[in-house]
Amino acid sequence: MPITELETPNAQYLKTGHLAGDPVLWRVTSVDPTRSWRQVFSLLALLVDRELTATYKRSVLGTAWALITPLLQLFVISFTFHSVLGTHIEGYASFTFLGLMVWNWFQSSLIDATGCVVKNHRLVNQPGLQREILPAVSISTQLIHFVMCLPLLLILMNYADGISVGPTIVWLPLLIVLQFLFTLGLSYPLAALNVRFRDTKHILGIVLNLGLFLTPVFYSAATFPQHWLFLECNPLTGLLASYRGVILYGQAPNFSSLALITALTFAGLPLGALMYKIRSMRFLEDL
Amino acid sequence: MIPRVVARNLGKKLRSHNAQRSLTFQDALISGWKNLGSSSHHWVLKDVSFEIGEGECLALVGKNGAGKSTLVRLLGGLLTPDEGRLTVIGRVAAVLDPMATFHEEQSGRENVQVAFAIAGLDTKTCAKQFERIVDFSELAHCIDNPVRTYSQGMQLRLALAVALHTGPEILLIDEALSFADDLFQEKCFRRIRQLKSEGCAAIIASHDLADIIPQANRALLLESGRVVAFDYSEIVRQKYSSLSTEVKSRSELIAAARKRS
Repeated sequence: MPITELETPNAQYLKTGHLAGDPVLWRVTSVDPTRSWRQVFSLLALLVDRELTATYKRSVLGTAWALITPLLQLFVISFTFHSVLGTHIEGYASFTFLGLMVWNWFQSSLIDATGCVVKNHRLVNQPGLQREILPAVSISTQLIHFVMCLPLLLILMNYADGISVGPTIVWLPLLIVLQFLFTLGLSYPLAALNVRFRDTKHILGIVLNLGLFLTPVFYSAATFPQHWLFLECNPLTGLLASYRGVILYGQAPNFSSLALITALTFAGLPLGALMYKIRSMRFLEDL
Repeated sequence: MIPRVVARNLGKKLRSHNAQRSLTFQDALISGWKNLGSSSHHWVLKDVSFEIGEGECLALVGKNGAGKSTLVRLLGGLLTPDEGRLTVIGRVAAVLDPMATFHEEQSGRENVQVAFAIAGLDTKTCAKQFERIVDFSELAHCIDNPVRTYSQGMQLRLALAVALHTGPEILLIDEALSFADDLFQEKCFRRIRQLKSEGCAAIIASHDLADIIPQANRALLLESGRVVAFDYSEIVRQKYSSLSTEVKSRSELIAAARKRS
């Protein structure tokens, strides 16, 4: 294995030594055996497990908090919008709870992932760790919370609103993967930026607060007959509509409404990952 | 002999940031986006060239601040050089920060599993090596306790045991061995000799020559980021002692203190 691989990229500079004017990334050749997808997934699983342990180890109710938080949110929101302001949407409880599940996954992932490099500064100091895995760990941990809420949603649908799940639920994994990759694409640049400017996380918190109201989480985009720019340009609008269609209304996802988020994911993920990769060379100096 | 690490004219510039450097957007805005860059920089490493192959042990020696840690971090791929070329061939295992892969709330057992996964090894290899790691680190009585209950020495022993049993092709140790007690140090060196015979290259940074020189084939002596000597370890030791007579190894100092009392 080793010597043949040495021949191709490095033979020249091993003889001649320093070559001027080449990109920094090419100055190091590491023939560390690459990790297979299986290895990456098993590391991801172990780190997610570690994250969950760290979050719930010393709390009395433990993982139950993952269910209590959205339920309390649901209570507050249905009281405000349904009872006080009189929003009328069929099956409001499950409509809003699903919206909250999707939004909470997005928001907590993004906030966690933004701080992940700073939080794991010791782990970043370990050779052999793919630093690209860290934001994915944050998003996966929050995905566990999302999945834990699913049975609760089914109960709400059945008993509060009398809706049963149709066969269109098979589309759900696709939506989850899409949201995962979209969030990952956003997380990479934010995580890198947070290493340099530590208040990125606080600014993000405020932006996401606004985002909650600009996204049809507890209201329906359909109630606005005029095409509002903030709804049209919000990639989560289409995603939320698809989630609701698939779970609540037994409709296959409307792919044209998913076009925006798909396009943004395909453009943003490679770009974000590249930026993270380049900035990660400086992590140790900025941490 | 198959090379494991080849370094040519490596240079690393570290930006020295003054306290006024903006660390938040708030600071950056207030200072009018001025204090963003680095105030100055200096070369922590300059023109460092060496190579080391299979079955060799390289001692990185030099005073504090000579650039040993920076060099080890370059070799581990944690930093990128600003100059020169570096080739690293093989799987790296490293102990730079003993607690790097450990989480305080998790047990020793769980932490070993994570450390193995980071090294790119599957659970089967981990299970196979686990008994040996527990045995080596002498932590059989508390391997299922959370790592936060371990003493620093125990954490160090576990970290070293893991690194020495992940089947490394390149082993990087930054000072960690100097903090271990003599008996455990000897045990580690015995294991390193065994790894060397299996084709591993070991690179050990230490400010204590007496401990490390007899174990190493070669030594690289750094002084303010430049290579003063790269040679067989005995020859480097002679140069080092002639270079700075005031800096003595730990054991020499202890011997001198004993003589005085």
